[in-house]
Amino acid sequence: MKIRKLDVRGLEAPEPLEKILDQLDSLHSGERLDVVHWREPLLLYPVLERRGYRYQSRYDEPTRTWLISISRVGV
Amino acid sequence: MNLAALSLENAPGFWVPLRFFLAVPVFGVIAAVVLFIDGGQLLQSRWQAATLAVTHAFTLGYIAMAMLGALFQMLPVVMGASFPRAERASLLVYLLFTAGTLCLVFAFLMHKAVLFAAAIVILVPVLVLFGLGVLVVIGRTGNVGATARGVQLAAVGLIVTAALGGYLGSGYAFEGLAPGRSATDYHAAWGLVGWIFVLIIAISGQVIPMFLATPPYPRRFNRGMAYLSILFLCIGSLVPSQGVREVCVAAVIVLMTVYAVVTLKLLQKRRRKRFDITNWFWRFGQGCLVAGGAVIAYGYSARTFAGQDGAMLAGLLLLAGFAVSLINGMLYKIVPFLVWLNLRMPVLRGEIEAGTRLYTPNIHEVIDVRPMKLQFVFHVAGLLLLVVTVFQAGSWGYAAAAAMLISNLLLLMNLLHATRLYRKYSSQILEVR
Repeated sequence: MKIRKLDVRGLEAPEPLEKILDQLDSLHSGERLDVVHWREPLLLYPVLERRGYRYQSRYDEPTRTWLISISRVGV
Repeated sequence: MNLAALSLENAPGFWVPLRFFLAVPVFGVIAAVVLFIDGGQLLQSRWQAATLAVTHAFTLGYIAMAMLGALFQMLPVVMGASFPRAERASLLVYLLFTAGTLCLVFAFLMHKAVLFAAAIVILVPVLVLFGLGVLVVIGRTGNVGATARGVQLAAVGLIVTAALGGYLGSGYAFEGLAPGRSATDYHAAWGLVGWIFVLIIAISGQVIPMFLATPPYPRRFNRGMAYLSILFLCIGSLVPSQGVREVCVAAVIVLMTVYAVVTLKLLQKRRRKRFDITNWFWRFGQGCLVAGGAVIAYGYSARTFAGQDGAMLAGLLLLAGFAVSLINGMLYKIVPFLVWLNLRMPVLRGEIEAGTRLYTPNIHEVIDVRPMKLQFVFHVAGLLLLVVTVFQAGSWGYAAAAAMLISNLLLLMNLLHATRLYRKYSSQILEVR
């Protein structure tokens, strides 16, 4: 699986959400978008669900960051 | 319960928080006008009626008004908690709270028992029920995050403050009742620490990293600070010992200083170095917090402050300096974000097909930078002049009132500019749909 990485740490709201949505528009089947974020993107999850994306989100304690992996449903 | 799934569905409409936020500078203007009318003599004692009118225009009309509006937005979006019939509930709270606050301010100015009675009858139930409502709706979500817990603790602070305020107000409203002045200290302490400081601790854990692009606060910092503040407040209020009370006051001052230093350090770590007016409001506010704590500490050790009422100066620094600066700064972040969020909502909710081209303003262009900078200058000047007024009555009071008046009119103008932009583009989106 091809993996794209996106680091949105240090961006002010709503830039992280806008940047992630921009990337998703060009995300192909078989691709995965891995996002690194300082905060849990609560507003992103329902948007992903409505648009038919699958996501996994976990908090990485040592780096104190949220890691969100997004791919299209059914891939 | 999936908190995230709730957040978009339950996001309140644009005007739910905005009607509270637009009332904030209006009460700032009212406070400035009262200062102007009574400019020469005001701020010489915390017991003067006009001083109490200005204090409550700030604590209720400015600070609590902004916080209620922010909570109606944040409870569903950040904590997954929502009042039943939230739109109607928020309108009712807004109308009653505004009416009650106006009654109280004019009651102090006009010495009218009937206005005090009206203020008590309106404000105490509204604030107590709102506080209880916050406790219940957050409790029902099972959310035990630092923000949710902090907001619940602040709701307890609000309930205690409102109840003590009602008790104190009854002395003005009903003949024969004479609450002791010591109750005023508890009312002020619970309002300042239990409600305002604890809520700012809880909310800043969310909004500073979100809007000022800083790393998160240290682990368990916000939760620990909120619990410790309430703990020392409870001990200081319940243990009938002057020594214990002074230790608790000292402990809260230490907590305030630690919070200010940690927040200032976070603001230094912003990745984006672009000029940001909110950053300056927050830095100024933290400076006022440290200064206010120092004045209380000095007042306790020396009992007086340069022949003046130390509590007056401390209150000025903590309310008009710390809380007002932070709220002013946050309004310049939250209002543009709400303009953006509500204009983008049809896209985020999938009501408009992804890829449809819609123009929404850049968040940094919702309010112009220059009038925000100008307002900051008048805000700082107003506070510094108020500090001078505490020591030097007379013409300084008029200058302080003028600066505050201009500052709040500019804030109102800037917020109205944002709402006009929202109106303009929201109608365009409807045409596309």
